[in-house]
Amino acid sequence: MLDQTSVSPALAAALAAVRAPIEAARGLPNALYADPASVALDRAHLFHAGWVCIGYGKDVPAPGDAMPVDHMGAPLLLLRDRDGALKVYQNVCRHRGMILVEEKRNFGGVIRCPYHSWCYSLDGKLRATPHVGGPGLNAHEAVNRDATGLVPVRAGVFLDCVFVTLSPDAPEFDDWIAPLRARWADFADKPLFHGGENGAFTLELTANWKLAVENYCESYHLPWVHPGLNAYSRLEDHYHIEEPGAFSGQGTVVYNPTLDPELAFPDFEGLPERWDTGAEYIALYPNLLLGAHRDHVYAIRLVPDGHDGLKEHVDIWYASEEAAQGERFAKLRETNAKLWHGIFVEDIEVVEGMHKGRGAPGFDGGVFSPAMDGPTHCFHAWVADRLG
Amino acid sequence: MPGSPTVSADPAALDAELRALHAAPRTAARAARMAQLHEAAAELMDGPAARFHLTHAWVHALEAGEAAPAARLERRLRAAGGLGATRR
Repeated sequence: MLDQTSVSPALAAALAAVRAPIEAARGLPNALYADPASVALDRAHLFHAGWVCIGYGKDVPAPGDAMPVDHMGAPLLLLRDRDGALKVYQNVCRHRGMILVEEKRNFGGVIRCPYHSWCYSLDGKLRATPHVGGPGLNAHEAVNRDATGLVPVRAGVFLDCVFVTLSPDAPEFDDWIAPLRARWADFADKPLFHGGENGAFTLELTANWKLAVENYCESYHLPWVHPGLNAYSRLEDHYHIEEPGAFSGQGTVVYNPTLDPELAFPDFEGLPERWDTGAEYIALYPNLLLGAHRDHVYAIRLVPDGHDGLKEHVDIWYASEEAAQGERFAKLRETNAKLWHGIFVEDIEVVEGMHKGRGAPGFDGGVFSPAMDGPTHCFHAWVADRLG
Repeated sequence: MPGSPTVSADPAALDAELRALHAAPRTAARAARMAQLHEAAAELMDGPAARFHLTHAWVHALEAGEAAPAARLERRLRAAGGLGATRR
């Protein structure tokens, strides 16, 4: 069904069924999960054609910090310049296409290409071209340094999440993020403090990344897959979130876990009353799963590894430096991370199980419950629209 | 970090330390030391050979992020004709 980066007639027909009203729609076809060729389609239409999260501001906290990122085969460099601004460039020397930075590190000076030592300032300018005019001659009129800097990549930041797009046709970042920024305006400009070692973990799954999105964005599975939530969070306490073309998810009106009877994380300042017992969980297409609570936010960044492999990088941020780093909250941070780790591990069985299920010949993508599967259909429709 | 804080005037010793540093992790301290060693090597030579080593000293000073040595080496390199655009 799949043919490199173009959409075959058979796939187009299947996608038309996905775009039907939810009552009559079918899910995405098996091939988009189980066929290795789906990776090229995902890359071209979903990951390289729009805005995607590649990392966080906390990954490069100090001026000169740089982190290479493999963005579905595109080598990028996330760095913080001398003025503290986040920048993203292609991680490639303009001379012979050599990778510039292989591992996370700090640059006190220029970034020197390990091949012929062409040097770039942190603002991306080509600073030196040694021997380019011959031995000991470091300029040549054919090499215009002003026009041969690092290739900048369009980037934007929201909730410390760094997004990039490789597409000149993608909308402006502020326009793209506007619906989520508006929904979570209460959090949008709050300072976030990463929880450090107790605020990050990674899960590895044998499944297509889309299934992790699908599972995350709906609440239908909660009472069955996460029975521990039933004690304080019933299915009817949840509501759907659907922003077609952008994100979907679910919210709860009874978020109130007690991690410790005598200690609680401080809340973000100035939150409206609805967040006292409210929390929302949103899948921002394609690859970022977010959770917002009165006292912490988390992000799960999905990094596909082929069509059937997935890394889920989980990071947690708190409302104050003390909550994120202070000794007084160390045990509480550990408890909170264990809570989420346990919940996300519970999801692995069903995500991997759905992936195995995509090997069933003739499975037609499945049907949707109009009452419960709206957020999932919203995601499927987005994929179908992006594939064309 | 291999090497010593002083810089030898012995070409063989300079070469040995540069070779050792070549395999060391690419830190700012390594770059700064390589800048020193190449500048010392340039002092032992003249003409194109000196300009070659000045070029390396300048690049490594830029890499180390040491503004004053980088500016000084850039002036020396410019005076030696190493920064004018060539056509060939």
